[in-house]
Amino acid sequence: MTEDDISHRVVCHLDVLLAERGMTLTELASRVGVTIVNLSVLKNDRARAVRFSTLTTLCHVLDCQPGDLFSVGPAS
Amino acid sequence: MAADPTPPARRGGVAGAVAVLLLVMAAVSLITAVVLPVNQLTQPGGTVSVGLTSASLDDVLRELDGLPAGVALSVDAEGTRARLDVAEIDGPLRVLTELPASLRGLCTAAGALLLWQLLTSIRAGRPFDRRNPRRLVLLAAAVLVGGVGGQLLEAVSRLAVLDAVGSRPGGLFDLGAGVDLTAAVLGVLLLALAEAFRSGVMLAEDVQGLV
Repeated sequence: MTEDDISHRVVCHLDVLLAERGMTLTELASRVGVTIVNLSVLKNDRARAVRFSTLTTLCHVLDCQPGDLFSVGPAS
Repeated sequence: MAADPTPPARRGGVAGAVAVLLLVMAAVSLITAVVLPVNQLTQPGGTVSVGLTSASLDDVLRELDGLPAGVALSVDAEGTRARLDVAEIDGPLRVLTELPASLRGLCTAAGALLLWQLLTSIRAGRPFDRRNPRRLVLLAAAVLVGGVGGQLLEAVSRLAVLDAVGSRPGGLFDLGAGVDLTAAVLGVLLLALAEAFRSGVMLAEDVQGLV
């Protein structure tokens, strides 16, 4: 794990949102137009940046706000 | 939509042919670089190219009179350079006459191999591979060593052979090494390209992990 990977404390709640909506990652990927690999990177907090366009589509498909998708974890 | 940062490698085409050509060039150059000095050791004499200050027939004949037996001079059509063939010289000097070509061969082999690696990574969709700036710096070094170093080594071997036959620059012969700066310019351009690639690597790393 590089320094960049651990320098942020943004936690993605995609798994929770998917579970609440009964949606799979594959279905979300096809509806958002992002590869499963990239969504998996996002879900597992390994993404370093998110495009506004991706965020907009994610929020639109999941019917949520950016704040529902992400939160900042406590400092260790 | 997130773009796939690693497009699939393209196969065949001109780039593929160039890649194969570079590998062949590297192999041939390496073999040549090794064979030339070894082969020269099996020969009794050696040959160097020398510059001429004047190539009038009288000057050449006068110079030849002063040279020991077994030394032949072939003046080129322009009368500016000549090939000095010495029938018998010491082993180290024989090797020295082929060292410039050998050095160029080694540098060509190294350069072709580095270019092949660079081209391969570009074809694989990784132009800003972390190793590419270093490859370009090494390529620049190969061009500088082969081009400029080769000329210097040629001048050294020329002086050594002229010294061995009892002739010195200043008479008919001069160093004749109007230094060709093409390699130096190319080397500097490659260094600049390496710097550009280094910036490209940083930008590429910036978008890694971008969803």
